[in-house]
Amino acid sequence: MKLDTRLATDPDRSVARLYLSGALNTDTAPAFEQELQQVLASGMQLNVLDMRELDYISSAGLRVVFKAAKQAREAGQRLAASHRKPHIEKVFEILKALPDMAVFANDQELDDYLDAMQARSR
Amino acid sequence: MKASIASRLILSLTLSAGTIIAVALLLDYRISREEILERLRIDSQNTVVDVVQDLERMLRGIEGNTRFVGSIVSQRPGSEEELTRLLAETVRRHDDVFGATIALAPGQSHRREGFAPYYFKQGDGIAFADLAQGPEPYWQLPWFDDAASSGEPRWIEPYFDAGGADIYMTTYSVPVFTLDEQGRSQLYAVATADLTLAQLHRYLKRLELGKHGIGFLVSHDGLVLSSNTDAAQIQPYQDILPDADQQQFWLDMTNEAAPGVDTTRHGDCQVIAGHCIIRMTRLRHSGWVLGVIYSERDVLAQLRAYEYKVIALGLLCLAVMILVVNLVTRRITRPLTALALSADQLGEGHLDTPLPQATGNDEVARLVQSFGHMKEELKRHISDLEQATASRSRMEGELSAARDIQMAMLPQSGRASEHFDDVQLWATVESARTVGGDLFTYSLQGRQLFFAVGDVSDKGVPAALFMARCLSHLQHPGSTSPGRKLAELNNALVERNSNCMFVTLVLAVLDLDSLQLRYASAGHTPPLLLRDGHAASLLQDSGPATGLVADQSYPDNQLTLQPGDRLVVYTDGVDEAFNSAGDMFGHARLLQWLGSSAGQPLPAAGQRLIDDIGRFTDGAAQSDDITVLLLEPPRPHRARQHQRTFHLIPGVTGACLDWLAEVLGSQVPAQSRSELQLVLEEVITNIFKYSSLGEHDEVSVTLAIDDGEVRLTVRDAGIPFNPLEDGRRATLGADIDHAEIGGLGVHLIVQLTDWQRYCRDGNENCLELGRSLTTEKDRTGHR
Repeated sequence: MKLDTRLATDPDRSVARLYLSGALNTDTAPAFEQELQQVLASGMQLNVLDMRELDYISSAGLRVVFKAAKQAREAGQRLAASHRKPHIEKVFEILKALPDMAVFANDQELDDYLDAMQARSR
Repeated sequence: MKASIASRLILSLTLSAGTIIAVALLLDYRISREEILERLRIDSQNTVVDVVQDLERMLRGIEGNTRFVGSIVSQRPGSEEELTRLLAETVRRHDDVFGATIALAPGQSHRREGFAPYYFKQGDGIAFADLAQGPEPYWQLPWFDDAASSGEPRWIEPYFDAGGADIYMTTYSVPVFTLDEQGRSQLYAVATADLTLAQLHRYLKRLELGKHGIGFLVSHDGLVLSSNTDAAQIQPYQDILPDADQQQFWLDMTNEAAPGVDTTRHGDCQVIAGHCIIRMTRLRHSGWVLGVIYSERDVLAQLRAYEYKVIALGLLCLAVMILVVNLVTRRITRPLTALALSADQLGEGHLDTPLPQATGNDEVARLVQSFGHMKEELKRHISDLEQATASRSRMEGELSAARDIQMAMLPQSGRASEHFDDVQLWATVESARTVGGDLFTYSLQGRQLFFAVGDVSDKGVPAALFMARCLSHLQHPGSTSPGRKLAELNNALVERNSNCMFVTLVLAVLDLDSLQLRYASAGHTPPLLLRDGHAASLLQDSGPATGLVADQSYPDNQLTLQPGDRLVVYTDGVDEAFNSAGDMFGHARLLQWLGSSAGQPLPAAGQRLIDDIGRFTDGAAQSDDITVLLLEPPRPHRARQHQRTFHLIPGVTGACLDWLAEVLGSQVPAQSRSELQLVLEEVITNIFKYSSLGEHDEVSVTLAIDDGEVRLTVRDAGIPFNPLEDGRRATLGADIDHAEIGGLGVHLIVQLTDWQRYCRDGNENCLELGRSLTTEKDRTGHR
């Protein structure tokens, strides 16, 4: 099982979206970690992991997400997850992963969140 | 130096020599003291005797002379001129006589004042005095009256001669009698001779013994002339001794004194300080007492000087002795000290340390020689030991390599677990020594499963070599019956077997379709069979052991296995395992184990038997090789089981998950499949990280699907690690600041399975996980 990623950035709204597709497991986690580091290093305010195509995540994958979330918080950025499939969400729930991490079920929720952010910054 | 031989020698020798010297000095002192005291006593006695003799001689001279003068006057009373001439002659010629007179009795002279011419020594010449011209009549004076009234010659008490010589003196008076006309004796005159006290004093001076000694003279009336006063001084003894007790003491003593007897007293005499010795005697003529007082301390002063001399000599001897002992012991112990230093060096392993030079043939030299000998022996011994150790470790290395080679000859390196369709086989060999003579083998030819278990006579390298030979003949079973195969093997082994090694063997063929078993035995222990919970030995027709005599026949035995049966082929190392008390594991324990193993997976049951034997022998040396082969036809309604081993190389998790997805196929719902994959990934990741295993090691994964339950068994030969307890678990639910990175996997394993079981099975970690398929629960982690 492989992991494919695609990055889309929106500098105007300072949003980076990383689309994950396939499996985030022990084998794919190290490469993904490097990739996520680069995404965070680009300095976007909000970094969203889009999991609509992600079929599988293991604790090794979650570990990478944890670590990145921690780093992002220290750098004043945010890391969020969106479009989790039910069994991915279940893994998150079992591990009570990141209760304060923002999650968006769909694009509408994400847009609402971004609008609210912009309204606050004005 | 403390407690060294030298110091102990010095101490003991000094103490003993000091004691000896002290005792000798004490004895010498006692003897010398007696001698000195005796000598002093004799000295003082001699002195007193000498003085007494001299004094008496002098007094006797004076007495004799005076009596002679008296006798002349008595026989020829002459004219006054003749008497005067006689007197002058007497004084001039007699040295000891100070002065002399012939005093006529009153009435014998025609003069009223009497007639008493007196001559005495004055300077070198003699002087004259007329005593008749004195202030009182001379016949009233003691020197005349005493003699005249007693009628006897006598010594007059000392007195001061006023009107004569004007000095202290004493006088010897002799009354002179003549016959009157009627023939009656009448006093005619008194003749006297004077003796000055100064003269007596000179004699007393000779009695001064020691520094404080005093000579003394006591008159009849107790007047004392003493050598420690002026020559002319006399005083009554009462003036000298004011104490009444002392007066009595002296009075008693002087009364006791008799002529020719030496009276001695010791004690406190008050006259001189301290303890004194008094000796006295009475003079024969005058009746005066002559004595001497001297201090004991004075006398003993000599003795004391002698003591000091002796003590100084003793101390000097001791000092010299200590010096000599010190030198001698140092000389003796110097090689010992050097030897001790060398011995320390030797003890630290420096065997080339030189030993001190010891000349001569004394104990120390012999000790040094012994040390030298010991050093050489040690060197030789250590060198021998090094060689022996080297050759032993080389041999151990070779034996270890031999064991590896031998084990490589056996299927799956001596510990096999395999499935042939649904028939499961498990076998193991535990060698008593590094290499051994037990063997097992199996192979599949078409639908025929061929297997054999054998036991070569003897153990160790010879058995291992013969076992290899035997094994090579068993590699190609061919299509003959087991009995014929055994006969062929026997003939092959008999050739070139001058050592008469032999093998007992069970050789069997199982038809996987019909489960029909044919087996033949060459003198081997019958196999065991577990059927319907009952364990028992199989009955068998057996031939002789192979390798001894050619052309033997081995009958075939037949048995049809049933599902649920369990067959055990073993060597006698199993039931004949001994513990340290000499008890045997025995057939009964073996059957008991087999009976209780029903329902237990085959590898676990086999491992339990090995563990049971290990516990029974409890560290006692394994006496024989142990080989067990277990065979189990499929159980009715058994689970479909899939097993696969994976090398622990990077990417092993991916391989595992792919395999799992494949074997699960569509038998289980997609969600369960995905979650089981997740569980397996976490388990394999844990092993990959924590088992300390390398790329050449394997992990075994077994998946069993049975009665709506999926059972996942993962085995690895890594260090003991129970992920359920030893694994790190992150605290869940923490916010991002406190969340731990890592330690999440175990949570997933526990939450996504129904039950988990870990055991350390032999040298393997065995993790079993079960998950029900029929009651898919809501696994949301809220349990």
